[in-house]
Amino acid sequence: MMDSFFSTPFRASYLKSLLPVLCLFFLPLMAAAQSSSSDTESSELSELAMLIAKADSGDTVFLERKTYALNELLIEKSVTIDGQNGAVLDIGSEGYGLIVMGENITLQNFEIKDSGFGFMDDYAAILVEDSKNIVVENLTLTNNFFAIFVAKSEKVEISKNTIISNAERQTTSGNGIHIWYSKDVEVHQNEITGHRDGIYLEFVEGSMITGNDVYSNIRYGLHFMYSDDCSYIGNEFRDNISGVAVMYTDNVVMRHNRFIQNWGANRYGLLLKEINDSVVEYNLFETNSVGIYSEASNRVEIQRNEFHNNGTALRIMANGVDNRIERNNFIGNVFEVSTNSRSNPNHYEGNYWSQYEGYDLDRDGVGDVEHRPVRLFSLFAERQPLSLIMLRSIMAHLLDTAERVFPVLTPKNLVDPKPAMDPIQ
Amino acid sequence: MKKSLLFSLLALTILSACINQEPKEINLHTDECAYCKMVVSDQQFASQLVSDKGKSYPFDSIECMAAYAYQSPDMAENAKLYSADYTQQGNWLLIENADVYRAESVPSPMGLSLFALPEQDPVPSEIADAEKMSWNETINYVVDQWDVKR
Repeated sequence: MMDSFFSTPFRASYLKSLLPVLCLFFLPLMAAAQSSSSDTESSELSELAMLIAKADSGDTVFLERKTYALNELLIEKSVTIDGQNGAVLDIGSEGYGLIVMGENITLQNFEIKDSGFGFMDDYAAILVEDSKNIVVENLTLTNNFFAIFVAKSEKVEISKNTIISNAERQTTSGNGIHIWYSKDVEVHQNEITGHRDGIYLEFVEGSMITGNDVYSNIRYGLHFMYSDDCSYIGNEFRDNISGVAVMYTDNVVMRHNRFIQNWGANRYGLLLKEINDSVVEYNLFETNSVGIYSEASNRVEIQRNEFHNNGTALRIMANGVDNRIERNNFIGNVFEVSTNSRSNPNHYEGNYWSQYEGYDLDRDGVGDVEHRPVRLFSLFAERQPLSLIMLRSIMAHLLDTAERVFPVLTPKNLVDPKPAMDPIQ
Repeated sequence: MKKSLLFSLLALTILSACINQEPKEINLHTDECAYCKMVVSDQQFASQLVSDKGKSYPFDSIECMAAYAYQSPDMAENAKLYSADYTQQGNWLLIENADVYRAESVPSPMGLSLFALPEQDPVPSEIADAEKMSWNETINYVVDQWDVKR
């Protein structure tokens, strides 16, 4: 037990440089506290540590189908730990669970529950740090502060895990999957709920995030910053308090995702802030207050998406240029597009707009008159939200129609010159 | 005459009392950062600028407040700037009475690793690499790192 204690960082995530000094300094104190508090568990704790100590590099350690006590257990050997779908590791609400610092380590088929939580420390059920070739799969992570925390690692695969946090601990909840300063991370088919951010990436490069089901988290479903060259494909983000936010990143691919049910002030299906040279296509935006909110984003291709029943389908600020909005379906939205300027630095073409009132005399499927997706009333609503009461009034409709014919207040050149007559398949 | 004077004086006092530049409460997970639009959810790093009209602009981090102050110098001049005490939950520090530090090991929401402590307070022992900065240095650092334009 002392052995595992020696090698366990006091605060493993960030304080590496300071570690040896600090550990030595606090050792007597901590050891005393440890021995007094965990006498009853020590036999089983050492059991888990012993199992790993006995294994050779390359071995698979099978756990029995029972509950093991777990407290900051360091794994440095190249082993596979398999819980045979029955083992439960209980952290007992104090500190970290497993700390992985090595290469070629696989964790699979068990449950870890009840990590500690704190304001200064990011306690996690699994902390992966300075590691390479790590696989975390088929785990159930219940009521942890952070579930999986990856820092300064390479080639980490996190798949098919169920990550659930207790809603009672809302204000003290950490992120489900938190990845920081890492490269080539794959996150597939996880279910994440009840955490702060479902998936969070900061300074991550070349990652692939697919098929995850992220719902009812207390902040963002997906949140990334400064994470270039990452792809997000086939994920569902539903009913997260603030939707999805992606910021300060280049070369992002977002395809076939579903952004659903993000209602309320300051909530967006997808918030794009300073995103450049990226692709957003084949996604579904349904029943959000704002489907996509884009600010200071340049050269983003928003194509082939479905915008259904949103308050505002697309809110796009004029401080970004050369975005292309093409061949999307805008169906049943209150406002199709809104913006903050009379100029339009972006390109709209070939979208289907359910509010289009034009005609197609030559029957080529393309409307003969252009469509202006910005309604005059959206300007009123912005300045005076209460005016929304008048949304369905004849007067509002009249004003909108007049504005469409002679645009005075809405952006003059924000038009779709070739609106589709039928929804695009 | 006297009465009306008294009345207007009273009205004036009451009205001017309405403008207070005390820090307002920030609703975590609900309020949006006035600079980067992220939801404010880390009390430790939260900041706010209270304008001379008494309106509070919340920020999720000190770096966002610095960038905002740089972009709106007129507003920042008469405003009161507050940052959360890193070590004590719910304690607001006037930026003039605070020490701002940068430490790579501190994960601030916007990644520039800034935090604030009450003036002269010691840095918590687990933060080894803290580097003290004046408010002007902080602004210059953020402007430089993020390439903030006016």
